[in-house]
Amino acid sequence: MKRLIVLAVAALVCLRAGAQLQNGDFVAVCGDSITEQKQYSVFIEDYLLMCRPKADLRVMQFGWGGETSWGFLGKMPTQALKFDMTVATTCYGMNDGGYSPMTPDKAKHYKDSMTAVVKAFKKKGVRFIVVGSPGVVDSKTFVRRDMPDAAAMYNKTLAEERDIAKAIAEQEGCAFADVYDVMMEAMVKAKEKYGASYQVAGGDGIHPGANGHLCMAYAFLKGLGVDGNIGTITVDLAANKAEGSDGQKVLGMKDGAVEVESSRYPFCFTGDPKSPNATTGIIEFLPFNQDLNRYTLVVKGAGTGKVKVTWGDASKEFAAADAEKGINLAAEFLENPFSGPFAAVDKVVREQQNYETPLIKTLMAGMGDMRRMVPGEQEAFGRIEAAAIKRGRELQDASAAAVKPVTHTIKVEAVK
Amino acid sequence: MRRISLFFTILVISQAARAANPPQQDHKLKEGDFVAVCGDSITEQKLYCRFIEEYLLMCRPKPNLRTMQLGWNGETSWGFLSKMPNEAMRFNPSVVTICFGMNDGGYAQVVPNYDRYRHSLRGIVQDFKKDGVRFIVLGSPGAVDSQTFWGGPEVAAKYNPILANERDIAREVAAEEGVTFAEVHDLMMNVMRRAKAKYGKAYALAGTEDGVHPDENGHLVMAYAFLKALGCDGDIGTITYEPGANRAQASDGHRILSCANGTIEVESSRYPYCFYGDPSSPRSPKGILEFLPFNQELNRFNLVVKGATGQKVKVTWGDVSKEFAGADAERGINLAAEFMDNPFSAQFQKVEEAVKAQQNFETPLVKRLMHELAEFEAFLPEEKGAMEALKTAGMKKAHELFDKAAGEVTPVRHRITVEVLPAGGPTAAVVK
Repeated sequence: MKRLIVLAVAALVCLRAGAQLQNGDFVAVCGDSITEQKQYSVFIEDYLLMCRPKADLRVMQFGWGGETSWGFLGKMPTQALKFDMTVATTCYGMNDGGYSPMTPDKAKHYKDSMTAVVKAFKKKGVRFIVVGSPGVVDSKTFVRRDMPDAAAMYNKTLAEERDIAKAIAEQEGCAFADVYDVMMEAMVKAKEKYGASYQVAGGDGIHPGANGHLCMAYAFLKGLGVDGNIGTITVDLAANKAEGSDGQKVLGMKDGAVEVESSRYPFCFTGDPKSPNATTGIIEFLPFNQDLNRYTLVVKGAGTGKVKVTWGDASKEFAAADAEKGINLAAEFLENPFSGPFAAVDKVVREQQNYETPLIKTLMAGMGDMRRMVPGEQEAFGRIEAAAIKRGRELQDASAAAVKPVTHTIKVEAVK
Repeated sequence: MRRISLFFTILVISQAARAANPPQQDHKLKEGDFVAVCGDSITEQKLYCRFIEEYLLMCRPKPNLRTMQLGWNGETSWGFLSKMPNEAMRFNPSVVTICFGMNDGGYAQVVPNYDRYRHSLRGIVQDFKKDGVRFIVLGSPGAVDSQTFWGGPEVAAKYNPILANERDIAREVAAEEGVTFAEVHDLMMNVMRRAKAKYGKAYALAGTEDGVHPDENGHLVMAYAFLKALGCDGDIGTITYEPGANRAQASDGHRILSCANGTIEVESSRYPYCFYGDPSSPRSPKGILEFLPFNQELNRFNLVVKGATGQKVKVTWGDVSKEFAGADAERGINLAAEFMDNPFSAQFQKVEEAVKAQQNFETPLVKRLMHELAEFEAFLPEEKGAMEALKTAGMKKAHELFDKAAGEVTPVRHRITVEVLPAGGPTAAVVK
């Protein structure tokens, strides 16, 4: 018994100790139709590939419309667990709550199923698990016939699930991603600015636009423990010298213009800020740039006045003192020299994740039935299954290969 | 694998030849026809299509008829039009029945796109013709239940006229294209009205659960409509008995083995259609037979007793006896209608189980192996060969399951005992 306790404690310690991303990790993003929307999962993959908190990361989404924690649990052996993920994120609860008030039975079902999901991942050898809470429903667009306070009612149910998910994460020694609170806080603030009809959880009140998905990605990336340091370029105007941190190679500097080759990108945002389908409108209500997207320019030797920074087609002036402390270029220049390459990689990532839906839902899910239908053809099934998984891997490799170093120029001038 | 390849090659060659020379449209079944029953979730329920197959196999209007169902839940005419080349024509049917419209109409939640429905039906028919299908039956949609429809009675009252408009379109397309039309909607509406008058409003004809997907009763109505359109004449057989000569004769499909002391032993390779269940339940087709001329028009298994006029006739078939007026017996008693539980019932059910197994296989065959795998061919072109092998193996298995169902249709031996009684005596059972 004593030995068992020691082993159990050791296992827990190992899990906690290993609870961070490592080079070469394969991250499985699991969830329901919100995951199958392939937005927050794409943002996570964009981030892990381009902002590169660790090298050689790989992401795959396992979203399934209408899914519950218990539904996923049942499907795990023939679907998710056929892949060799080292990290998993889970986001269930939206359907589990039944779009109705919480009951003890429902809470128990959710708790039991989520716990079993975590245990199944552990048994498979998944090193790092991020248990996510569900998100929220939109306070304006989530409506139910004959139920005037449907959104308030259901957000209460989802909040209870958040608490359950958090407790499971603690109990199982996993990381927790508080999707609910991040979305709720951003939704309240964003609606104050843009009006109640600015949706954060989508037109149906459940499936967010790009804005809500950025909140979700933020919560999970925080859960994954990324530190947000994308890079720092330090320019010494007096010495006419510049240097870059890891992933930012200074190619040269002339007359305050620093040419940099970056293998790590800042995360880029798109769209009209007033649109829920843009990521630009929500970032002021979310510490995404501060916590996850610090691409910093430090200007030394600029005196006490102002400095003008030109990056790509945009120029901005900053107090020299602020510049000396560091300017977050990613936050200040939403349109920047990375925007084009970022969009190009994002497109490849979406193609990859678009393949993963039929891979899981059509092929892997149907394989059991099909094998039973024509049992004499096991060899052909095996070939097709292996080829389909291989194709998925090839697409992931293509996503990674799409991330090419970006050469750009930052021009810094002291304003007289 | 070689056998599978050969099977596949023959199919492809046969299809190509037919596509090059589309045959003239026919309006009746032929020996050896292969009937594909196409439709939406109502077809995928595998009830009316099973009834059709049972009829074609056991009542045998023509020898060696094969049936398969291609039902797909949620399907519309335009959805099927886009899937058809892969899903239906791979099976090489010579006859098809088509039943779409329930989903096309939008359940009175949206403005129906009648033009799209018309265009799609026309496209389906034309594609089938081009692919060499000899006999096409274009069905109207059925009806929603006036009481149990999920939208409620008021929405049902709005939706049935929409389905009636689709019926008119289907009829017009059938006429334009020179194919046969099956009137499902009016028949269901008519039977529904009369059945509810007898059993009460709550008696559902178009489905107890949702008023869209019928139980066995509504599916028998659908099967009736399609079997009529397929041109089945309803003559299952006639046994003619001459008491004076102690002699009996049988029509094609029935063989007299002996005839002595009023007991006729018959071996029948054509069965009357059999019914089961509690008539008051929608799960039984029995309860609507009085509102549908199924037995009269499709299920005539007649016993004719010569020279019986003016007397009474007691007929014993299986465990049941009934008495009839002699004149009626001389004109012919429809045993299929009068003896619902009869010597064919057990074997009929056995065949039914095999048909169920076959049609249950056909759903994943079509939806998974034929359709979903095809979607994957674009992703894995290098595995196209393996996928084709799987499809061909699935089609072969479907054929084997059909052969098994057909193999269960073995000749049934049964005895009919006829006693001619003096007129005016007491009657033991219902007298017609």
